[in-house]
Amino acid sequence: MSKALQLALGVVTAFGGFLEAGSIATSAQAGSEFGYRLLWVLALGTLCLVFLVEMSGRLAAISHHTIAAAVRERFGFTFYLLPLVGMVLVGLLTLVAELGAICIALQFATGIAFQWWAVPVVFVVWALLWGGNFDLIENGVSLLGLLTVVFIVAAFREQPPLREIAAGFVPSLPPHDGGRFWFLAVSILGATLTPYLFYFYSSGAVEEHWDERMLNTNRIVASIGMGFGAVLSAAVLIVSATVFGPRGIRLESYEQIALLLTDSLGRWGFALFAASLAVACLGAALEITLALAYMVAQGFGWSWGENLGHQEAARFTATYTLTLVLAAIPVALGLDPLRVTNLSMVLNAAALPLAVMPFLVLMNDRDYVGAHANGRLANVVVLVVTVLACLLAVVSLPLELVGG
Amino acid sequence: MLDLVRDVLDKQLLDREARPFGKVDGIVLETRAGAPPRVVALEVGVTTRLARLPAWLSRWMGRFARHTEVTRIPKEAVLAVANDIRVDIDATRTPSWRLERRLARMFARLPGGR
Repeated sequence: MSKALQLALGVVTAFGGFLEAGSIATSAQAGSEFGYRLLWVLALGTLCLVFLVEMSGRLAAISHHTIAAAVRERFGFTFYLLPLVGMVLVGLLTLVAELGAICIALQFATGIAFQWWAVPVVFVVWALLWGGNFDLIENGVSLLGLLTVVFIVAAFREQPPLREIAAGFVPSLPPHDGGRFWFLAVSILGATLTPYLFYFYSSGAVEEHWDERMLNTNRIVASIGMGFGAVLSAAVLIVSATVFGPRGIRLESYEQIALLLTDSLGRWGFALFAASLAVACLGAALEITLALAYMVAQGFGWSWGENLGHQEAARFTATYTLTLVLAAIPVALGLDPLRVTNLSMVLNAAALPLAVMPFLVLMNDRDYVGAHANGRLANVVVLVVTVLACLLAVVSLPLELVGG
Repeated sequence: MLDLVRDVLDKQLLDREARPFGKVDGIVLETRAGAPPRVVALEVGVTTRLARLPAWLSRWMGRFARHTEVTRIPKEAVLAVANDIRVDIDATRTPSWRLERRLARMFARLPGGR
């Protein structure tokens, strides 16, 4: 594959694979309740994400280690249990949210209650992992995810006030309901900075045998791919602010969020929303399932890789199978997908230091990254946003639970 | 000179066919009167891993984890210590491979199993 094509494909997959249940739900809720005022949080989260994704690709290209393997090696088994347990629990909950959202999309399409879709959906996800390879998972599903571009189309058709949108990128305090404002702010950070994303990215880079020659491609994919991807989240927020904001609607179910596109796209809007939700969350479900299996297998030194046969990486295959079975249970029991999504996004933010802090140490350790250690800007941005996200999550989650 | 904790402990182990079969969970040292201890073997296994945890955690996790036989790799079998540790053994004949083999057999029977 030529370098230019590889680069284009990387950017397109990063863009197409950006949206998932968390970013759609939290952006829609933020827009409906606070207009454009939370756009700056999305921008801050995206800036941090660009750094984290670039770092994970750089670590893989230079050290040929995934993040999980390097953390176990550098900090030892006892320490490794901490991020492993934290991220597996939060990752499982996030997977429940993604599977639940796919089931909700199928409920919209068929009228059959979402919990009945849990088993068929999990089977399809498993079958794609079982029968597919890494390229199919990363590129194929992300290309389908390009459907989510409908949110940008809708944002243009709504003709939102540009001055107010620009003002939304300037940090501001909440005009009302401070607890809810910060809860949604941290939900946006959690949805943007889900750790599975950069753990998956580093595993993919190792699986595709990246080396030093990939550093520029990595930089471009991380910055342009993720940057454009965040435009999709911003578009969801803007459409929601324009459609629901003036009516003062607080979005408390996916049924309400599903009306996001009907104002600008008419009767096609509902179908396009359901299809976008389904493909975006299918991509995310595949990536989270793989990311969790990668974390476990790499931490314990098992043979791993989506490109290997099932018998060559049997424990890895068993791990993703078990992960899907566990995640199917809450969906089949009918747990409200939107509530699970909100909770999982805040917990992602709360658990962020577990995933990021050891990674940050590695990126400054010349034994691993040689002359390609982090610059000061990357360290400061990642550290500040991680600590901020965690603190906000720890404070706002109990307030939201008590208040709500 | 090797730093055992930095360069050996928790490193990836590859067998003679370059199959990953675990991390170095423990290092077996032999103490000698009047001389520094020397490395005798490397270990891989649940029991060794649990022994490294704080006692309360090891006891608690020990309830869920089955104490399986540990794979012990003699020092003489170590071929190279670099990014990974290459050893001159057949991992498929070690206790570390038992679960992998059982699962592989099961997957081979499923449609599309490769």
